[in-house]
Amino acid sequence: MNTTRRSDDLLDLARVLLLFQGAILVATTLEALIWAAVFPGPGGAPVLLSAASAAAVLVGRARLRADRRGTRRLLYAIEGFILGTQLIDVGLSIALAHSIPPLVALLTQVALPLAVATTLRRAALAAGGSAPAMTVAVENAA
Amino acid sequence: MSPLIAHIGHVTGGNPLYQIGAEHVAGLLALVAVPVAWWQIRRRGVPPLAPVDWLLVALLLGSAAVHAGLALVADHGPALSVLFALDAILLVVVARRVLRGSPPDRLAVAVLVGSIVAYWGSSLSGEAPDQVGLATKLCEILALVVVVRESTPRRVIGSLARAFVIVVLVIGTGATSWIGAFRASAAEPGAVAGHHIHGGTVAPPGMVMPAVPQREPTPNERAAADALVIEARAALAKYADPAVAAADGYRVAGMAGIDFHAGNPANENDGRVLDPAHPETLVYGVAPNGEPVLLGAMFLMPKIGEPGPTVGGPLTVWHAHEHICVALTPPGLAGLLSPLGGCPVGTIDLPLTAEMIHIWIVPGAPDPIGDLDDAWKRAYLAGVAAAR
Repeated sequence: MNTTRRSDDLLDLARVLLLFQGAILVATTLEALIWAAVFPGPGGAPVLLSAASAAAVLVGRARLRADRRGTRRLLYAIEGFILGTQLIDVGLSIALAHSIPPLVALLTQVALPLAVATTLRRAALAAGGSAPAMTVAVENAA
Repeated sequence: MSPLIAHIGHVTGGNPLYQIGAEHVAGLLALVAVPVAWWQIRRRGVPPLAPVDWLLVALLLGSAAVHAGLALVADHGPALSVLFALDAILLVVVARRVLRGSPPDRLAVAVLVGSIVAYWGSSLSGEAPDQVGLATKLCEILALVVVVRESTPRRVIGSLARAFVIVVLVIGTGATSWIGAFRASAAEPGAVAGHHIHGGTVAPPGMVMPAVPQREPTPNERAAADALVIEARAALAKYADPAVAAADGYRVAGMAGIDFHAGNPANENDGRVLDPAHPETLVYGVAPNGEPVLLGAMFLMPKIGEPGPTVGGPLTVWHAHEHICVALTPPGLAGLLSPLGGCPVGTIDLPLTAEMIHIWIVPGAPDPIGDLDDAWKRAYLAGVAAAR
């Protein structure tokens, strides 16, 4: 398969996932705003962090190109932060409630960031002309 | 419910918002049809689709499988079963078109938007949203993102409009789920106020209410509850002065609002349970004139999952909290876990707390043990300020 075409296809997939994630982060920011009125204790930090993440994901999506390494790094950083936080949540859930987090949390806070990061990585590798072993295996199987 | 599924975010006595409803397990189990469909597709030869189209097919087939499972079990009544079956068929039709290389059309948009908006209606009409329903709707929204995307954007306005619609659908799904979850709890008498009537009640989101037999307290239980309140009033009177509370280790700094909880870390680890003289937390309200008023105390069990002693039977019902978002910078409550699966960014989801119970020492409190209505607190604090 043409590597440029494959990279474009993967970037197309990444843009879809990023718009979905950005929309969830916008909704989370609005919720954080409401909660901040109910629980003023933490100040505006949760609202600001949620808003900044939503903005970064949506701007990153708009600027996403195969040759823009800085945009990819920004998105990796956000996905890493979300995954890191969720790792703590999973640990707490298993330790305190003896259960894993709710299904939707696993989908939007684990599967989605992982999918975004993996897709970006594969797009970058495809653009560089060296598809990862996993991609080659899938293509061979197909 | 299968034990495996029961361990996905399930806490007995919590709100269905964070759980998998028993009537939706069939939908979840029906997802095994997706790998079977994939195997069938591969047998017939894999069509040359872009990754994003494969994602669309998987999401459509997943949603179709869940709806088909719900239609087969028919736990929602015959009318809804027919609608579920119709939705499943239409989703499969759209997936089939994508597999044949046809670009998704208006039918795809209509089916997906219809399914999502129907879920909003269901939530708003009082059916408690659960994890299977929410996950399915989020998958459908993601499918819609694929359907409405443009691989080569022609107009910025058009792209922004599409993105705006997706954001509105996500916000709408979250908002209607919150409303549905709170309505489902409010629809059950005693679930929100009082904490006294249980058995079959639905806890509000974020709260875990243990099942308690629905009955009147015995004379002995009533006497024990009254004695507990009288003892607490006598023991806690000295803490009306926050300086005395601070000297005894209560964290009264930054007191604000009508429901300020001043914790005492030493008391939380002293091994005492429901000791009126050594509560784990004091509850103050700040009157309109700025004067702090001691309203009562909160008693906390030492360990998560350990039930509190119900000395007053149905009059002394303990509760816990689940899926609370906790901020660390600065420390404090930052909300509840969203139906969309996340806490505000930078906060941690505390899945479960130890059981707790409130005793209110202010004269005239409608329920001296359990919940105290915010409106009542405000009126009481206004009365205190007016009397000065």
